[in-house]
Amino acid sequence: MTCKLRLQTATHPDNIMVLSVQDHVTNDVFAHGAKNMAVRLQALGLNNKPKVILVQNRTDFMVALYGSLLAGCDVLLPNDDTPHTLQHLAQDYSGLSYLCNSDGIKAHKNNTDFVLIPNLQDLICKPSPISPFVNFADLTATITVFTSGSTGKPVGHKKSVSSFILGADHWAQRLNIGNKPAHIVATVPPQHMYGLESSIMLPLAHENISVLDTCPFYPADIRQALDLVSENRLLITTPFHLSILLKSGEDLPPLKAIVCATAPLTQDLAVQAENRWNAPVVEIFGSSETGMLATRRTAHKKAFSLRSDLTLENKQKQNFITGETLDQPVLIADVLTPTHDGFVFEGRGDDLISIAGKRMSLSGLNAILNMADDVKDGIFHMQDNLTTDQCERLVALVVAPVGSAQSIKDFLRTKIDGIFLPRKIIFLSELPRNSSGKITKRSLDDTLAQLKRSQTVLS
Amino acid sequence: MRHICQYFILLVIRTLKLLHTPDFQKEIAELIVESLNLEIEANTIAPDTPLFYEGLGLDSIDALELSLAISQRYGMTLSSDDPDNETIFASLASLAETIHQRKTT
Repeated sequence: MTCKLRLQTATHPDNIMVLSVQDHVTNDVFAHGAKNMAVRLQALGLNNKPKVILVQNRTDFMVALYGSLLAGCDVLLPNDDTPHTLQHLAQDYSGLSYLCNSDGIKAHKNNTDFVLIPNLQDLICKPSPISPFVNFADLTATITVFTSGSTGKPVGHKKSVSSFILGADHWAQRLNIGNKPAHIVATVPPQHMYGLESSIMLPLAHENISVLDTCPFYPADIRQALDLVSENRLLITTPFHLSILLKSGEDLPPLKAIVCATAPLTQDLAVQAENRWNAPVVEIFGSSETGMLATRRTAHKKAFSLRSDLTLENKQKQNFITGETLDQPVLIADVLTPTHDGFVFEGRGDDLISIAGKRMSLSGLNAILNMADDVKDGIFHMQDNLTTDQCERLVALVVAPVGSAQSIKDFLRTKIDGIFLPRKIIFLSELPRNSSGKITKRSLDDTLAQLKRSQTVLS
Repeated sequence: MRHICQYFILLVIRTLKLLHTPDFQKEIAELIVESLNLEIEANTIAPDTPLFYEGLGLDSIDALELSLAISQRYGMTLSSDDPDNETIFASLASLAETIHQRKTT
């Protein structure tokens, strides 16, 4: 398959690729900057060596991503940027450097492994290099997206650039991107698979799609961001952000579509959003191994339709996704019931938890909790006493005679993303393990119910 | 003379502010506990404890939920380009003061 990235085939060099509050970046300017980024990496002797991209701003991210790929560097995108994760990556990938903005450089000033992504304006001051950077069909560098593994160590899923381009075609088809320019505003970061496919690869692969460089957060930010782009607005977000946006009462300009992923979207929320903004809400079902693999219009349909080039296979009660572009069948940990063209999502697999768009293995979290010096035994538990539109949060149950909630939280903060920090730490004299050492959901529920009754919950 | 007058006026304003402060802080502490479903008593949040990361340990999800509760109750909208952002969420006292100054309902 040939790569058709827009840099190679741009027939509309003046179309916009990235928008920001102050400025916009055209296809041509972007290509110029990304090529010079590659030249710079080469000049620093960092070509053909792996890179971690730590910036959130999408202009910087895209320049770093494209520049790295052009310079033959594999790109690594970790789940989070805690010292724990970065340390593991440095052990596994020799010659690794981290591409970051000036804040990142300041924070790591004596560490030469942290390399500045120059401002695009500075990169285009120098003339654009010609060959050998023109033929991108030969691009062989890969992109690896990481998820948290069950042992607490990040696990990488390596993908070729061409598989992302194919994925982007499926995205564009599903979102009915025609010949008219469409503009993306995304509330999700570019590092994770969902944000990467939707807000980075889609504009890179399709020359009439642009993206706003920021990651709007508050409802007022999202409205302002959408106001900045002219028409055919696509809002890429999560169910949590969508529910906050609905409740805030912010008036949004007309939308072409709202895209949701990372946590199950309820039909009720989808219907409310469709009625309120008169735009289809498309829910994406995906995984870090495959990217988007199925979609549904949640307001109207319960079943997800599978991407046309993928197949769902059920082997020994486990679901696998197969397809020409996948090296091997991908196990889906969630509980799915197959339908004629896809599946119904019945629930999450036991080990996978997802909070506000970030996923983590529960056993991985438990492994990290038990690394804390003060913790003799410990387990994370998802709170389930919340109302349906609230974000689920974690609690930790620990046996830690000398530890304090503060010392345990301080330890965890260096190892895991803040979203997964326990909301509450419950100290117990022992965990309800059975004779084989296992903790069943039932014994855990019993313990929690008992604690609630006796009101001895300490926080 | 003019300076002395200004000074006294400021002093009066500050005293008035101090008088209402504990009640309003209590109201905001209750809003935090209620809207974020925290299992602590509102009166245990010290006025100068940091709300995020250390201290109360709130995170970005809480920031969104809290901003919604604030805008619904007090009509004060938060946005990322707000110059006061660094101080708004610094502590209960600064949050209460900002809301008190900017509330519209």
